[in-house]
Amino acid sequence: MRADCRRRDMTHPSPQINYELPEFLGGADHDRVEARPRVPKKRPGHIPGEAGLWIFLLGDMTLFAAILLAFLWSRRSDPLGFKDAAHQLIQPIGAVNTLVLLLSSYLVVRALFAHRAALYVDARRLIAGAIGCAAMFAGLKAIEYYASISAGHTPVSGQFFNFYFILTGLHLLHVIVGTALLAAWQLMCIRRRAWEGTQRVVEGIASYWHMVDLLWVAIFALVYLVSAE
Amino acid sequence: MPGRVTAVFTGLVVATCITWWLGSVSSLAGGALGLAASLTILIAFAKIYFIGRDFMELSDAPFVLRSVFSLWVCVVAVSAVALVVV
Repeated sequence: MRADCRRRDMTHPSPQINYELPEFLGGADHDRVEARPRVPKKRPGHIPGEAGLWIFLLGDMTLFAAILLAFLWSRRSDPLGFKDAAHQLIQPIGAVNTLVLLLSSYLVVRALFAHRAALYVDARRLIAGAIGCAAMFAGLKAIEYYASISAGHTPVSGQFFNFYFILTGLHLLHVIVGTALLAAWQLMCIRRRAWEGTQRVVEGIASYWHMVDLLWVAIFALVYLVSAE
Repeated sequence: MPGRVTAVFTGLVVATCITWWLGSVSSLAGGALGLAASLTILIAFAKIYFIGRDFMELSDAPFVLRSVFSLWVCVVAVSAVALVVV
């Protein structure tokens, strides 16, 4: 019994169950919560996922940062050209995609909480919602690419579109990889894999997805908004 | 903490709407002195910081990891503002 409690304490942050949210958003079914009195303590100094994963995540973020800063550097030599090109983008699609990815990140956080509390059905629903957001993001991106290419803006139509297609293309690749990882997590929840055995993998998948989200926040601000100003 | 995460998510949505509005207003006004651009960048990187802190749960991470992430946010944000304004 004591050993079991100790093991639970080592599984780090576990959410308090939110009674206000609906069940499909990670809120708790009261009956099930009463049957599962589990309130692990927060443990400071916990690395989400594997430590090595963070070298990859920070390296990936730095690669994107380098491309974004190179983009801003190139913009200095032709601000008006970049401004005209940025106005060719469909800004509302970029904004909606930002909101869609933020929502997906929120759903992933709630899914993590649900998985920690062994609420597998809730976790599955939340992950499905995040995958739906990813599909919506990819669909809107496809519409945007179609509109850009139809208007004659290709990766070789100047520096702005060269950077635009490199940045958004690389990011879309990350969205596809992230979606596959979310699907793998979904499978773990379907098989009711316990938190204790999957913690590092699940936290790693969630951290990767949040990185995909934060990279888009930077791309939207710098490529869609700042360049158009 | 679901309550805090929901509050952060709401803040991120509001901040996104503000930067979008700021971008369209500044674009119409001709981008006064890069002020709107700088604000857009700073708000965007503040959003990134909160995504890391609350969604990635870096607030509970070891000091080194938290510091490296915060340093990344600061360096990229300051470099971006410098490249836009200077």
